[in-house]
Amino acid sequence: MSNPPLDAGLVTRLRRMLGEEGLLTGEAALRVYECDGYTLEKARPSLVLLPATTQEMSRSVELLHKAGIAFVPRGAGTGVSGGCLPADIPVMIGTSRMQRIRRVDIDNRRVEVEAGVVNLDVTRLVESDGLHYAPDPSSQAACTIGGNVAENSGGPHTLKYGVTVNHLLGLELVLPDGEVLQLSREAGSGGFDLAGVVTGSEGTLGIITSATLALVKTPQAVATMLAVFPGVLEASRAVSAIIAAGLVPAALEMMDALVIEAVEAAYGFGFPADAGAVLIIELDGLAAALDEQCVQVTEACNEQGASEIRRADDPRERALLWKSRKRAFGAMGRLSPSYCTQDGVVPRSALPQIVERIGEIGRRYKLRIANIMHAGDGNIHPLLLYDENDPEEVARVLDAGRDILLACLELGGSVTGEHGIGIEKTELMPASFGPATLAAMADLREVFNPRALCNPHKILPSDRHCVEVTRPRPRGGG
Amino acid sequence: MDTGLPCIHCGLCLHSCPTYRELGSEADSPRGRIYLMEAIEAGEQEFDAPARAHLEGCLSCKACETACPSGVDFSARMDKFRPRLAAAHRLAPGRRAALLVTRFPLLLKIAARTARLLDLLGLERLRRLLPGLGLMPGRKRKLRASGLTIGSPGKRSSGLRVALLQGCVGNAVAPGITRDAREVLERNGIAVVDVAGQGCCGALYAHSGDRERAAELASHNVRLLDAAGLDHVVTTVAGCGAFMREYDSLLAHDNLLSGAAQRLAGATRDVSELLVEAGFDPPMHPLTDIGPVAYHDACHLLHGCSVAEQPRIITRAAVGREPLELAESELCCGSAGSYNLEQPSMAARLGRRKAAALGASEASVLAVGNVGCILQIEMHARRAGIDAELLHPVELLARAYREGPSPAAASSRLSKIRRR
Ligand SMILES: Cc1cc2nc3c(=O)[nH]c(=O)nc-3n(C[C@H](O)[C@H](O)[C@H](O)COP(=O)(O)OP(=O)(O)OC[C@H]3O[C@@H](n4cnc5c(N)ncnc54)[C@H](O)[C@@H]3O)c2cc1C
Ligand code: SF4
Ligand code: SF4
Repeated sequence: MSNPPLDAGLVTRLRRMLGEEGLLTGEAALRVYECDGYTLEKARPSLVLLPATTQEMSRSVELLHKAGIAFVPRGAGTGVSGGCLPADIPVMIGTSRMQRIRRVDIDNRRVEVEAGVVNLDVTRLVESDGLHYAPDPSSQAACTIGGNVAENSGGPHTLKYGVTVNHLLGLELVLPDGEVLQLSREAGSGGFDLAGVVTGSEGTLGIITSATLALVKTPQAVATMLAVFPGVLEASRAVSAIIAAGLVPAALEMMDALVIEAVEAAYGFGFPADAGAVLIIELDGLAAALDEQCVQVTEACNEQGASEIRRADDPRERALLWKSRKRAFGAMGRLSPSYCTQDGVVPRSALPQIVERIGEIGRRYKLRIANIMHAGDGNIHPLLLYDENDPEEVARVLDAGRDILLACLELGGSVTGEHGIGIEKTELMPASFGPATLAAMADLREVFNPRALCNPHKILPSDRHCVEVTRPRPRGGG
Repeated sequence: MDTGLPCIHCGLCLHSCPTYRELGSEADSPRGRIYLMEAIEAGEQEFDAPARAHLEGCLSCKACETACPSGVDFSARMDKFRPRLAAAHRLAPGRRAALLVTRFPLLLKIAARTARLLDLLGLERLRRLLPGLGLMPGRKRKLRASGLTIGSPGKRSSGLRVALLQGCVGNAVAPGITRDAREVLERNGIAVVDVAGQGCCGALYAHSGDRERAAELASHNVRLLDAAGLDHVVTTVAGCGAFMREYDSLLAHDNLLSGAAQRLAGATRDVSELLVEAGFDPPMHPLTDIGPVAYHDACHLLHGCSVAEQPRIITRAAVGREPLELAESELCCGSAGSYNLEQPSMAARLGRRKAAALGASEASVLAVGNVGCILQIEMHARRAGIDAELLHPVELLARAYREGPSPAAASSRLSKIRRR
């Protein structure tokens, strides 16, 4: 499905301002922008703009606003809920050329970077000073700070360190009419926390052009442990037991037998072949305190029937363990031609129940479902394996995914932990929020984005979006 | 050709890709190129000039393969496509010239001599701006190779017999690297056998889509080297080493040669890899006084052969300290075989980017395990007025064996400090 071509005069004016490399046209250049990491639905933009400065961004947006043309922001396009989908949106605006580091302030532990800077590069910039940027999505080697703010992204270390919004000190935002706002939320700045409001808004309130981020001191010592369990139920109980013991691990991740099989085939870490589930538990802090905490973790795991507990002290072993976890989605291709990642949340205490429900749903729909979880925060990522050449199975996958998310809601959770609503889950919003809350959200959007030109049809259900629905492909996330 | 596991469109490869980093356009990223190739194969996308331009912009640097969590074999997909690219339009003049010199290395020797002459006349700044001649290596200033040979082989013999791959343009442009590699290997008790008649490894042809000619060249080398009864074939040029490791798949359908090709692919080693594997003597007098030394990964060593640690070990032993790392060290310098002749504007952008990273590191010596990268980075460094010396790690090791600390080296360091 294509968007209609644009007025030639407007394109010429944009090209004059942005230069040949700042404006992409033509089938070959635009094709890849049909979708992001969510490939179920596709729509091709008529034009992609790549402004290099805030001024170029603001002028581009202003011109589009005057012409009444809708646009969608895009970072690295690693999103997995279709937030970048240009459905009925002729213009896409990328931040890939907004790459400057504006300020590094080691003394006050903060940096200001433009929206297109990649998450991991922020940490690389300051690691020699013993600092790092804490939110670490598994996609951190590619995803942008702008995209992270737009999705309020988290990662395995969210459990102790929080998500993007917990590390955000300020934003520069281009409103959908082109006006540039500086939104500070440093302590004592007063007023409404507009930067907080924009965080997690998935590009529906304006385009972020830069962010000021707080840096965290890199812990003196880290202990990474691997605990092996006969099954997911035992492992989920151990998660609760660890937290109940008063520990706050930096990360607490779970992988079940199917995931372990795939990861072992890909990276050969040496997980026991008969493991029903493993927990990766990372503790950090002062070296002196870690040994004691490791003992507590070991006790909690043993009580829940762990068959083996290992501590990865060698940095290489630790790196391989994390690689196995962070690249687990990619490894799934080795088990199944296609798979679909879901993203939901339940209260941590309900992990055993949701695991049982997922098992039931898998049996009911005759599907293999693998489980990866940021178990510490109850964020689950069931992976539904299927063969895309079997349309009937594809339909079952979609239904099973929806049932799992509804089960999350029933257990008091939510339909997304970190991947956002995007276009994928708009239909689940009425099940998640009451009408008054939805109306308040719509009103808020109206204030920032009154003409609905900036990323329409996302997050809140809308009556029309016009896209081509394709067969699902495998996709990653988490 | 098996093109491996499916691309899941996750985008995790984007930031590893040099052309995407320069242009910011996803059609010039690995994900975009794969998407484009799939659409062309499915008949949804025309194989028109813009589509070809996005594909031809690829450096074949393989950085995306290291980045991809799904094990997508990008090179296999691209290699499968190269013949179509080659057929779609005649070879660009640059690539034709490059392929020509692989047959007539004498041309290169002449160019290298001319370059040296111009430099002696004090015209290096000017020469660096010329196409072709600008790429020729410059005079080594701080670390002039002394005429001395390293001397008698060490006390022990490793029992290994190896040959150095010598058919390459690289050997013609920078014969010093091959010479030093030979001496360093012998110094460590590894016997280096001369195998006459070797030709180009074929990589340049394969990357231009001419797999047939590449296979011919490979067959020639396989026959020659397999008959020589060697333990290893050692390369000093990363691109050749990476390609020779693929000889088994290149010649898999050749009933006569597939066995030998497989043996040779398994026996190929980068010089640093073999030295570390077989064990080498650390020099008595490491080059401790030559200013800050950095190491830069050549793509085909890092992404093509997963050789990252060994050249650093060699460099560390030669200079007696941990080498510095350049910013963006994983990004290709734009050399990439004949890419700098074929796609001069992107190659120059990447070369300038690398030279800037070198300048920012304040290193006065940069060790790189590939002659193509050495030439490319040296040219762009000189154009930017950056004086750092570019050397192969094995050249550094050879110099450390030959020279101890010398007054000359110390004074050159002083002059360096004064210059700043
Ligand atoms: C393999 C894989 C693993 C992942 N792991 C995690 C994980 O552990 N945790 C996690 O939270 N997410 C994860 N994700 C999802 C995704 O990487 C994150 O949501 C990420 O923050 C998206 O960043 P991006 O730059 O790719 O944004 P994009 O995908 O380009 O955009 C995402 C949304 O943000 C909007 N947007 C982008 N840039 C801007 C801007 N400058 N201003 C305003 N709006 C903007 C877009 O319109 C879109 O709605 C994963 C994805 C993959 C493929
Ligand atoms: S091989 Fe290098 S240039 Fe080509 S797509 Fe991969 S990363 Fe980009
Ligand atoms: S090549 Fe690999 S990393 Fe790149 S989009 Fe495809 S699956 Fe993801």
